[in-house]
Amino acid sequence: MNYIRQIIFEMRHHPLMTWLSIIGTAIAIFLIMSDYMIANIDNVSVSPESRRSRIVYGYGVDIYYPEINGSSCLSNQFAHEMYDNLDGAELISYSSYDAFEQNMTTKGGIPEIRKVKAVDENYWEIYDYNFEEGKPMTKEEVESGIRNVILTRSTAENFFSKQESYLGREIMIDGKSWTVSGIISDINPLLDISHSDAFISHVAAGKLNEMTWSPYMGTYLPIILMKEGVDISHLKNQIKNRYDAFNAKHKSEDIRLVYHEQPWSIRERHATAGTNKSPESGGKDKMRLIGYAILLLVPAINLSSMTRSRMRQRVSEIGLRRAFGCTRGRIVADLLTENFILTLIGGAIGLTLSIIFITCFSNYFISYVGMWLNSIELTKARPSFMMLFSWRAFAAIVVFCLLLNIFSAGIPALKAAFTNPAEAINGLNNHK
Amino acid sequence: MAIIELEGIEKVYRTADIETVALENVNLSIEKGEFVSIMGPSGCGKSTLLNIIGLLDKPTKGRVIISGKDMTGLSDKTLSKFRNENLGFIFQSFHLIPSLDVMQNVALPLTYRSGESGSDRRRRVKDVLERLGLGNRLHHLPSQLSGGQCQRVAIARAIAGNPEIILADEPTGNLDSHMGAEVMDLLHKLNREEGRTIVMVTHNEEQSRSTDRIIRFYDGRRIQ
Repeated sequence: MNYIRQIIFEMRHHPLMTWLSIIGTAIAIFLIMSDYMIANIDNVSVSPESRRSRIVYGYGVDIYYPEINGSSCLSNQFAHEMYDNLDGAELISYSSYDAFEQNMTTKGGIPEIRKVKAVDENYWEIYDYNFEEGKPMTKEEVESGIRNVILTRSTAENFFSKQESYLGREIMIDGKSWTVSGIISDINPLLDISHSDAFISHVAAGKLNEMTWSPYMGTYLPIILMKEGVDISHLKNQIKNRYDAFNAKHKSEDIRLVYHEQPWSIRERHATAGTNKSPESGGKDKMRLIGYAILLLVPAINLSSMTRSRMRQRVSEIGLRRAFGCTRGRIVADLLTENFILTLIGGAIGLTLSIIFITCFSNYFISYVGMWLNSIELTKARPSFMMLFSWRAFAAIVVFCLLLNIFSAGIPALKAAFTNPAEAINGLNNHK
Repeated sequence: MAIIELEGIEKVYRTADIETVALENVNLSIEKGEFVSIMGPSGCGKSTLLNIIGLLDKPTKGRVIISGKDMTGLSDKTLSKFRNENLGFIFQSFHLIPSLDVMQNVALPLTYRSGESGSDRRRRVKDVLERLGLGNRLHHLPSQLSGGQCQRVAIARAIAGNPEIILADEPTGNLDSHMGAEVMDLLHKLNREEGRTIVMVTHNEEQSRSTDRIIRFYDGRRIQ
């Protein structure tokens, strides 16, 4: 309570120094958090990709034949050969990587191009889509090739206008009639793997589009939900062994697979440019940490001198508190706490500014926009508040503020606490 | 029975090339319940002596014994606790904390003391302030009070923790004669009615004559 009172007093009586401290902190936190959010917007866990920390991707095959080579997603058969029965996997889905662009319309309506994703039954268990109506596809439904479709709310509203229920309605996809079996909430286009306008069975989709075009290559993406506590390296080792076994087996045919450290975490996937490259996120993370340290250190030095200046004005008070029984340790703790609250105010301002800034200008900064999906939607997409404000980001801000506080106020607080109380009291102005 | 004893106290301030002797071989004994004035010209070491008695400064040489306890070599934590429980300070310039209201200023010594609930603490502070005629100023800031009121708040703060010893450094120095007399009355009352030992540094001969004993200093030495 007294800490807040002291801060209000400082704001009133030493406005320049106090506000400069707050603004300095706000700018530092704004810069750090903006960068942190840009780096993590690709990786943050939000519905329907709430379990991103456990979801990994068997993305891409990079294969060399005697005369040609190629890289793409996997064929259905090869995906199963390489990824079935992995130890440590809770579930594996073999679904299309890209959402196909298809003509969609109601009977007699004008066709519009929409995204359609071909999935299996496990897909619905790995991702947590919000079903507003109907239910996910069952194994039988998927394997029967029945033409059922799950639409997003906005897609359904676009084609049927607002209805109480859309279940059982017919919609034309590429000239064929499909039955609506579920409605899910809209998905942010920045969640590029789970985003689509419509979802159909991959077996039924095979009749629309070629999903496999060579024994090894096709459009399948193995999506693996790891068991709790399993490290991705455990899966990587198994896949590496399978690649080695494949190469040994096909040596005489001169067919060779290049292993690119699959499966990839979402961070690795976003840090990788294509199917024939290995992830390279580690170096970037180190550079980022160095950048944060510099961003933190520069304002900390400035804040430290401002804090010292504010402390100088309070030396008599510190001496007085010591006279009435306050220990040095308590003086340091109290001053750090006061400064921490002040830093948190700056931090909150910086965090708010960075959320506003990233929301408004995200398409200039998000590195993978337009790279993974050539979609106009993506260029218009904005991260949701929950994608920006994660608890992790909040914890990060508190840690940053704490570090900034220790850097900037630690030494002045120690100096103040070790000032001789008699000198502190006597060398000061009248404090009335 | 002596409550304060100083034995062979010496205080020397040293810089790179100058050595200043502030106190030289000071021996002093003050009885429990005594009201003592310390007098002398400016720079004679009165305030230094008061700081040493108040454990705010350490002597270069000699021993400080308070309530029979030798204070030499005690840790910061122990000295802080001792000051909190046994000593109350009154300063010429009041030294109230400007961001705190009257109640919070007076409660200052109690905030560094454990084992007392917030409501008990508030009750005790309120009692003290009412006794000193400041019951209607509980939530005023120091900037909203007159000089006399500020010094009364400072006295309230000095006695809020119920210390045996009050150390007053020119308590009336910043007050007009009327206010000064009022503060002196208050100090005498605390001495007479509550038995508190008071050591007061002053330049005022008249005020010092009203105390039990006058100790005079000159050039860092006790001359009387």
